Amino acid sequence: MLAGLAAGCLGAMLGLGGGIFLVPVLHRLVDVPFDTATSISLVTIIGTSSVVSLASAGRQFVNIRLAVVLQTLTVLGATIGSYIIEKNFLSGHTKGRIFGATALLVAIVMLSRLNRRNVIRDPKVDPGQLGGRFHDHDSGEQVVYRLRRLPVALGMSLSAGVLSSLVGVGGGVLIVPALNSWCGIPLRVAAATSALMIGITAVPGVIGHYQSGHLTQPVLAAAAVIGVLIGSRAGFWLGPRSGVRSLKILMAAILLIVAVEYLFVATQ
Amino acid sequence: MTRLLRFLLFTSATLLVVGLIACLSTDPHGPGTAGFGGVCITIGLSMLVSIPVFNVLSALVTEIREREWPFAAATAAVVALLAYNVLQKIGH
Repeated sequence: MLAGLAAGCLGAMLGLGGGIFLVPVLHRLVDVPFDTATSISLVTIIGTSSVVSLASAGRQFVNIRLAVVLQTLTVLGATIGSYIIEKNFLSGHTKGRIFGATALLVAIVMLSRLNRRNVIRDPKVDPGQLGGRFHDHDSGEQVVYRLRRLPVALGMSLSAGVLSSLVGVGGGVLIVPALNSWCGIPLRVAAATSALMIGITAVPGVIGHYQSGHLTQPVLAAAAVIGVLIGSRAGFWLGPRSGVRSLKILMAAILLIVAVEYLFVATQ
Repeated sequence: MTRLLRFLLFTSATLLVVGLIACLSTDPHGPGTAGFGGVCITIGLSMLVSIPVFNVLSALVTEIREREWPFAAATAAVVALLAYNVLQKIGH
């Protein structure tokens, strides 16, 4: 439940599924089999996604239209990733290194753009078809954002889909920083939109694990989901109080840990 | 639709809490999943997993109502891909 609490908090603040955190805790500390840990993690991802998309604190940041457009490419990417796995084009080490290098690159870009807010203070500005408006806690005003470089956002969603299939992580860890750093989307909008997306992506995975008999410990799953539901509320409370710059530093730090894990530890 | 989804989430969370307490009180040493507690958890988890599906369906209805056909098509594509993936997993 404590692991779920931390995963839910990170999910609500940064749009991450929390699998990177929850799977090792369940597998190494609680001694749950890896497949069962992955299936529980997928259920908790849906928990975070549901809270973010439905709670009024998170809903104002969710851009459902953008999520759906990007989701088509993420699903296509996941299908390409499955094909690569089937044909054995890449070794486990190469896949891990590609993911680690991508995470490192995104972390560097994120750190180089810490002060960029991606918001337009004039509420009369047209946000365009894939932009939006929200109440900014930092300035206390209604602000507007517009999507820039749609092809980059689509390309990154495709890559996130491929990589999530190859290395078994949610795409949020790449999509959130990419949307924020390159596509003009404010961090909180990118996080909430990503949380909605990873929930949709997780549904077939949960059903697949259930069918394969991996969801053998539903009591643990229930405890983790309850933790996530409470943690998400804590994330909503902490998010606005942390400031966007601190959230970006936290996100970059998580990306750097992931990069080191995949470049140096997991590939040994 | 949002109200319905919030009700689903609330009911799912309630069932999970009730199921967890029931399972732990039945066998505090190694939580079992049989009986009332197990049923509550299974229904709670099933309801939770259905929320993202209803979220996308709700987005599809909104796009059709607003006559935003390119976005309605993209949403329909996501629904179709989701249905295909779910049916494929069930088929296995």
